[in-house]
Amino acid sequence: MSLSRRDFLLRGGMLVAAGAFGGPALALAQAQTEQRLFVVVLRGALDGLAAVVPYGDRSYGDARGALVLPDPARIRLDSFYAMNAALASLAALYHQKQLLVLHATATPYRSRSHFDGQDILDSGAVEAHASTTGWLNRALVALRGGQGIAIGPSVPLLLQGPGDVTSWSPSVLPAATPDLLAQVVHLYEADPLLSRAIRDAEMLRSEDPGSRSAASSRGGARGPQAFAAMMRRAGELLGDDRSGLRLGAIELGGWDTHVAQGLDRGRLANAMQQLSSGIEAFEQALGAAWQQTAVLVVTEFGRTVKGNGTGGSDHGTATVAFLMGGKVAGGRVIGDWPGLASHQLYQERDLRPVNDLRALQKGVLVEHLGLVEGALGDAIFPGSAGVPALRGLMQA
Amino acid sequence: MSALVDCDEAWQHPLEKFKNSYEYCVSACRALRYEPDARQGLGSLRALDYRVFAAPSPAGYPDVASAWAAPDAVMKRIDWSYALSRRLERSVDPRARAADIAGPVLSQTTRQAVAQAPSRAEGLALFLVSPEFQRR
Repeated sequence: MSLSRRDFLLRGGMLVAAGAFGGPALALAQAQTEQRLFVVVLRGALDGLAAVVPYGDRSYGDARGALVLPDPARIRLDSFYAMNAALASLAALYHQKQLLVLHATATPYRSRSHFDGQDILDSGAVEAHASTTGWLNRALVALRGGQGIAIGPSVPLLLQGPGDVTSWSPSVLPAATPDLLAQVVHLYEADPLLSRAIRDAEMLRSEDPGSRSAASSRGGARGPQAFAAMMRRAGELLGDDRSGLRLGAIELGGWDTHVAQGLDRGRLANAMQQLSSGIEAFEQALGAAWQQTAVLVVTEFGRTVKGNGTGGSDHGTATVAFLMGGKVAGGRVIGDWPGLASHQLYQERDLRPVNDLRALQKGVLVEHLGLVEGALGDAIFPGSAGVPALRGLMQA
Repeated sequence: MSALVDCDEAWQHPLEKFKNSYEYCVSACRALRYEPDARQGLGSLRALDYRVFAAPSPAGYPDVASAWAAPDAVMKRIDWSYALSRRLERSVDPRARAADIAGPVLSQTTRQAVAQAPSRAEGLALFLVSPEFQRR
């Protein structure tokens, strides 16, 4: 039996074929382009105002109250914006002019359900559950060649569709996250049998110093290094010239910070550090291919401007998106800024969505992947004909 | 059959019995319409510390709730359910599935937790590990 290059590349993980062609995708897909696009989907709604702080807005302090990011936790971007220090590698890319920020951005979705918001983010459609394929898969079809890859145990809707998509995930599945466990604890409150069991389990685990390592006694991959390890693998796979992989996606959770948000230290800061070290690992693993790669970081919606009664924030509307890569015309925060004064907020509680996320996505597809803008309005972002692609995203 | 339908007990929802690992595994797979092959099925049972035809003692597996709701066992169910949900989340809306399967017996707490979960995978996992789904 001969071992194909793809087998070798994917060794150590699980290869699952998806998409219309079925069967293990072992043949090397011939790609027409050398350009790569990788999408990092933050599931759970990132607080954009905690990630990129508009400290220059006169209303910032009043508007955010307890959710103001302390000075030492800020990395200055310009005279108006600062990056959360937990996103150190993103701030470094910004200063190398390889990362740009689109603030006050949103998909067309204007309600507050994670499932529906994520469905629209993935499908690229205007309404939830209107499409069974994802915009990234349709972009792959438009590229006429090359293969897509989902890094993770399942292929997100974003990458589902007729285009040729494979997936890779570590052979050790991720164990339940601390976030999920906190929800389970709440779920068990009224159940004496189960609440005692989970309380004892948590106690036993906190007494076991080894339990926080990458592979716990429970057998799952966990800890802040798990995401970086997957990103490194993603970079290796996409960076290999002969792989034919051109588009990819990965998901990262932990952003639904209703309680004890911890924007400079705590839950949100930890999640951001994971993202930051993941981006760093991805860039390193890509090597020279970083010059041909764009990374888009998106989330389904933002969070309320004001904190809630439990030190967190609730589902909001506009948030932040990042575009980075070797040829990104970065070092800028782009788009309009709607302001944080109370009369400027959306529904008197959210950052107003003044920059359509699809304009950024379309701009990347046009300038980075060379797709024709006219075709995007129907095939990839249906109903977006009135949303022109952003220009000048990439270095000429 | 009609005797079953007429029987009052068949229509009560007491949820008195805590599922053992085998019952839990099979019902969770069915709930997500997942049909594991033999290897996957046995692997899942092993992840839940259940060895088919190899009970740890001649007395067989225990039949009291405390034996199956031990801290470590509960944690393993949570991990396994989350892993299963992450694999299958794409095809399933957690709100609809929870209502289909356990509608009348779902507590308000569970219904809310599932609906507000930050992702489909977590929503499904929360349904599977809910006090209601872990009982029969």
